[in-house]
Amino acid sequence: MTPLIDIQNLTLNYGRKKVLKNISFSLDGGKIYGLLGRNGAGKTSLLSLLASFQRPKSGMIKIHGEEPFENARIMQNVGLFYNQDYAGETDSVKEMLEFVQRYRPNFDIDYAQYLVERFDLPMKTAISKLSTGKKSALNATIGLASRTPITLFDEVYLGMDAPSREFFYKEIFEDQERVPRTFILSTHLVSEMDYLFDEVLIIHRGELLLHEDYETVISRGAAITGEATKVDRFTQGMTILNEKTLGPTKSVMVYGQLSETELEELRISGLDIGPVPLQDLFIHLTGGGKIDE
Amino acid sequence: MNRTPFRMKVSFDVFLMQSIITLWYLGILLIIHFAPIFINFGNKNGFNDIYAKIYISGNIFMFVIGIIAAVGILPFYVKNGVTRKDSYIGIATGTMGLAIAIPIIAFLLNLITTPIFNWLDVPIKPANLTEIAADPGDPFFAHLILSIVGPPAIEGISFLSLALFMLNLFFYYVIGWMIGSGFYRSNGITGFLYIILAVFLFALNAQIWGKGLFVDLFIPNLSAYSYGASFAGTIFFITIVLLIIRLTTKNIRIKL
Repeated sequence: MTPLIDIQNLTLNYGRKKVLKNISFSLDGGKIYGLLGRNGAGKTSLLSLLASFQRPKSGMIKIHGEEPFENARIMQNVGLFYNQDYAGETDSVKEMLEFVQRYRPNFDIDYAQYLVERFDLPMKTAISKLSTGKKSALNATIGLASRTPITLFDEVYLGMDAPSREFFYKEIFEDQERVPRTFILSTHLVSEMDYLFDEVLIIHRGELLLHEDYETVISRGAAITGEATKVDRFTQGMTILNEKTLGPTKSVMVYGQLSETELEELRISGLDIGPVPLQDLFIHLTGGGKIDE
Repeated sequence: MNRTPFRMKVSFDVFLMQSIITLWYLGILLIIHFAPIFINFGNKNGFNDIYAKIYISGNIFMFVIGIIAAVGILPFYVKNGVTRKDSYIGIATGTMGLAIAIPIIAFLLNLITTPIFNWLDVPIKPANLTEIAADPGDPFFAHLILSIVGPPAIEGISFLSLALFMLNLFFYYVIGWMIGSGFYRSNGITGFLYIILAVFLFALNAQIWGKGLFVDLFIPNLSAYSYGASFAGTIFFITIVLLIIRLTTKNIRIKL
């Protein structure tokens, strides 16, 4: 079966700077994909190529088996929604929604109206006069209500307050059930969104580091909890991602899958094993706490 | 994934969007035009009619909205899933409609406003638009500037002069669109090359209408032979500019 999105040996340069380096992956679609990466990792460049904002210099992108660039059938069904600034935009929210409705074949104006009310967006105010959070809410509204079969959200939540972000995540989850489609969510706020992801892609410095389903990714690590001395003894020599101590109890997150022998040892010692948050794995895989240039 | 054809929608929307801006422009021009009724400017020779005012300033207006089309309209449509090609065709055809509409509106406004001025005894005169040209002895830059701000003209108001008015408006628009596209794509020095090209095309166009810098140098004053030849010349320049815009925007990267 042809994958929905097929990317092979994709490379992108901006002048001498290599932004994407020989990336290959394919997505079956109909799921929520988390695209994770640190600042400047190449997430936005990858999404802008998928949305035909630019043409790849080398490598191949296929959507439904066709090249998307300047392909009208594909382009109208792929939407990239990001933290758009709208400086100088005199149109009101209402006018903008009406405009988008004309060009996105699956746009649902009733759903847009619902989102506008929930985000408390003023319909008649010029968009340029909206606060940063409200502009983000407008971007999220357009992105959700457009119902493009491939919806790309590039950190669209930036500027939203916590309740709005929570509502936005919930809507992605619920609307995907109502109108199944493919979401690719680019983020570095991993801990807030990880429950949404069916599959995870991590890119780092322009290279694809990992593409696995969510369960497989989080099974790459384990959280060992119990009596501090026992935990220290057990985790000695392992790659430690994070550790917390509360009185005599300690919890240590380790990287790497545990062997059958280690699992048996855990059971005998009376230590508990749990999953590692995706955020800790992400931090570890993308260079720990080291600050990128 | 089904396809909805967009270019006609873009064409209509661009026409509508630019028409709204045009109404603002015409409104401001009308206020300026009617100012002599309320303020005595001491001009006994008479004021230019509204047709002449739109004829001259309309080109600069079109030039400016052409730049806006490049940096605002095309990227906006691509971000909303419209191909560059459909956006390009939509912008070009929508603007043709506007370039046809403005001279007709100018003509009608002139028909309405001139009797009002006559009735109020405010001196108004039909401008001879062909007179806007530098004298042969004027410096090079005077010729150059007048070849840009003083569009080619045919005396009086006729079907032919209205057609030239329409052609001028479209020519100035595509030149602005070309410069805007050049800067959007390249910034800096390459963008500046588009300005040089634009000035060169303005000068050539002025030359074929007998208002040029390089009198009888390498391009003749075609209007001296036939207006048809000059019209064909301007249409040729417009085609060249449209081709350059298409080549510039064909694979253009849309900035976030």
